[in-house]
Amino acid sequence: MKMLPFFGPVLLFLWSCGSPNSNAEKELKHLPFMGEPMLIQNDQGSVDTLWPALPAFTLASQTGDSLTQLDLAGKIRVADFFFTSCPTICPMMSAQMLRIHERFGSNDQVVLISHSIDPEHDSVSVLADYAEKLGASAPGWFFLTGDMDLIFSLADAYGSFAEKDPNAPGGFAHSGALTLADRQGRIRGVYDGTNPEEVDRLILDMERLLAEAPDYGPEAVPVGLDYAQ
Amino acid sequence: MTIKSSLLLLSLLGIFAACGPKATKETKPLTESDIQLLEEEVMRLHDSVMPQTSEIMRYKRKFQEQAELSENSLSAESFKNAALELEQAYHLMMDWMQAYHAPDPQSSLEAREAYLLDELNKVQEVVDAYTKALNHAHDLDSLQ
Repeated sequence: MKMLPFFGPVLLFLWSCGSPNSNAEKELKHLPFMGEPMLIQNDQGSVDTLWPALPAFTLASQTGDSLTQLDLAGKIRVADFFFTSCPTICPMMSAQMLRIHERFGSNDQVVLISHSIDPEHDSVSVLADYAEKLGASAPGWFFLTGDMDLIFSLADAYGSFAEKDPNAPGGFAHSGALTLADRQGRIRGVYDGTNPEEVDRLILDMERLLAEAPDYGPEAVPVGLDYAQ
Repeated sequence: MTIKSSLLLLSLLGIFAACGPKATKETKPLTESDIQLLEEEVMRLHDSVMPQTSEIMRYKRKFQEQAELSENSLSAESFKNAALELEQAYHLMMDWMQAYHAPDPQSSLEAREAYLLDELNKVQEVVDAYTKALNHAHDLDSLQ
């Protein structure tokens, strides 16, 4: 029993990754679903487990056209939040996103979306210029601008921003997250976009998601946003 | 001249003699390293508050919604003012970053120092605006 404190978390992890109807080893290859499940009682009196999916949106991309959640349906996506005048971490994040773009740019099942958190300065033409200089191109990689409140609400939904961290300078950990969502818009991982090793892991996880059946896991339900159109 | 005033004069001369050369020695010429330290300090100040932008915008949305829902005109005004202060702090940050550029390494050390000292003051204003707006937001939020 002395080993229980050590094995406890391991057993908990194995339990959380497995499901009663599947081979445990096979299930371990799946990425976890992030967030809290929604338990909804159905008409038959039993309970359905639903999973929150990323909300609907309409934003303008660097191409001048609008992009909505419908354009991302059935694709796995990697999202980040940046701005073109960012003096510190954004260039590092963009360099890592470029690695992913170079790896998956020709795969129409994958889309990268970079949202500007400074939409007033980052107009469509500024984003087009930024994308061109970076070597990024649609439809593999979209740079988005639009309603400021919608973008910040999306950032919260993607879990992209730092939470309070009393050990970090200023009391907050610096953001710089890349969020991976599956074909149904469910978040499956959040990675440090400034750390190449974390991005190596993200690339491997993207391969796992691409190999996963599109209907795998609990049904997804988009979480509403007041700002969505 | 009395003995007393002679001694005082000698003491003063001694002090000047002791302090003069030292003061000259302390005026070291500017180096690339000084400029780098200044640049790092500007970024450190920026980094100390930039991650709070999400919290700034979260409060702003929350207070805007509360201002619309509030039936009391006085509290609606408080929410509106707090939301405005948060939004102004956000714009101050974005405008500063839009205008800030790392100094041209081809320019003189003195010119770069002057530019960075000016930027240090500007980014400190951003830090102060963020801190003040968030403190007000926390206070207002805790009243509910």
